Amino acid sequence: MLRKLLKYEFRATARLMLPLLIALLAVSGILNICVRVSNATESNVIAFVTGMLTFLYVMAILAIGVVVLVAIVYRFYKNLLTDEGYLMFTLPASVHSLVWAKLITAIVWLVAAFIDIVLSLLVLAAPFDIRVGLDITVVIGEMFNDLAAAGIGWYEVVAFCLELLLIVVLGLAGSCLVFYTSMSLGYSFSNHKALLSVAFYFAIGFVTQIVVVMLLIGLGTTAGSVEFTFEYTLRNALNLGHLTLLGICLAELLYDGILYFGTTFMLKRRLNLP
Amino acid sequence: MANFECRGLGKRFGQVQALESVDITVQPGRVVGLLGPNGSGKTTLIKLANGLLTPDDGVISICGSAPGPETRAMVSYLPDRPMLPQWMRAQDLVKFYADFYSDFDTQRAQDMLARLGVPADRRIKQMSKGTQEKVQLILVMSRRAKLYLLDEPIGGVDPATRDFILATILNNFDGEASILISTHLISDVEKVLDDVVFINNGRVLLTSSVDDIREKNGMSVDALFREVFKC
Repeated sequence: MLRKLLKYEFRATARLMLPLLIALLAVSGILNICVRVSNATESNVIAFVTGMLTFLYVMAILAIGVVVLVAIVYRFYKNLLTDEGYLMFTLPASVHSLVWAKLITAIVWLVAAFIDIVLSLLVLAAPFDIRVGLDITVVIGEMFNDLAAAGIGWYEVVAFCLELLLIVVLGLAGSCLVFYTSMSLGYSFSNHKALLSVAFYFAIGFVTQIVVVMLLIGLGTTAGSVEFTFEYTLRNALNLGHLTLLGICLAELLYDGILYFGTTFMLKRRLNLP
Repeated sequence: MANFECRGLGKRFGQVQALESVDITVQPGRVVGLLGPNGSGKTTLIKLANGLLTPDDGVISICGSAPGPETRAMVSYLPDRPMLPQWMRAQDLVKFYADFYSDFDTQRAQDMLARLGVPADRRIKQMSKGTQEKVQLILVMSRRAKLYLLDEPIGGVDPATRDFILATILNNFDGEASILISTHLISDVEKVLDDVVFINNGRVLLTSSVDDIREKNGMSVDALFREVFKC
């Protein structure tokens, strides 16, 4: 059932997202050509067009940021909390698969938007000098060699990258889930639904801040009062690094889990369609 | 086993008691009219049956199970408002329904769309309110469900379409299925009903077969309704 829901969720969002992502690449491609032409000639017209395109490019990046965010919030609201909810909540699908479909699609578009922006920067910059691209691969190769010489294998680097990726994905899921939770709380009331959703959004943020600060203080005090016997070897340092990153992952997982439970509980038990 | 059953069903919204001790049973093969004035609790009852609301008291069962993803595969629900995504075309929605409901009859849906002159390649938002209602009803009635829950199914369409829809409802459902129709347009639906439930202020006032009403009271359901709910 989740597969089918994902199919329709992507179809519903792609008609907004895909043209925008393609447009950004197109603008960066044209801008690149214009910059090269304007470097070669002294035409004021070309310089003006280049200036306009640069402005358009920056606006396109901003638009992608805004549209992704709006798409995440609006899709959840429109599809699950307004009249469309009558269709979605009477499908033979669980509330869990409905929320997962929204969440997975949102994360995929966030990541796609990020990759699209990076790609557009590459399109914008790369052809000026093809050697720059080659240099980057050389630098990365050298970095691995240096690390290997220092006794850090490539698998260590890959592990760190995977841990960082996990942190990013869990972080993105968390940012979406805060919206979902606050809306499913706000829209369970009969009046002032939107206003209450905003209030819940800030309330959740506030509580999270307090909990995080208290945790950090707690950690700091514990670390200060305990006698550590830490031998400063490379292996121990790397382990500490992994441990820290995995600790962050665990904290994020807990945070996401609480928000996910809150969202699904409200949608199951306190759904209040108009 | 009854296709729909509720016992001692109660639902409150804050201080307002929307439903109180409601007992209704719908047997296979029956078309039941849930009749009552505005605000009597008809929509609340149907929303509870779909699991869109959680009851405060009592139990509901659909073919023996509490409302959930499994019962939704057996229930075909028509809400009293437009539920279709505005950006989708009628033909997209036919595929959507076929994808999610194994009992959906695509051929039947396409026949009905053609018969009622609905432009299948047009987006919902480009259709008139009445046409949107037709699409919604066609999708709901093209399923071979066990239980049809129709909330005000004919409110927004013209009388000719109304007749077609009622004929469709009757022709399309088999002996094992049941229909619960909520409406206050009684004279129009009366001819298709087997049983009626009168509901007011969240309480069941009367449960009877249509034949009994005609025999015992010597009047039509419409006339009885007007008498019972006289203002």
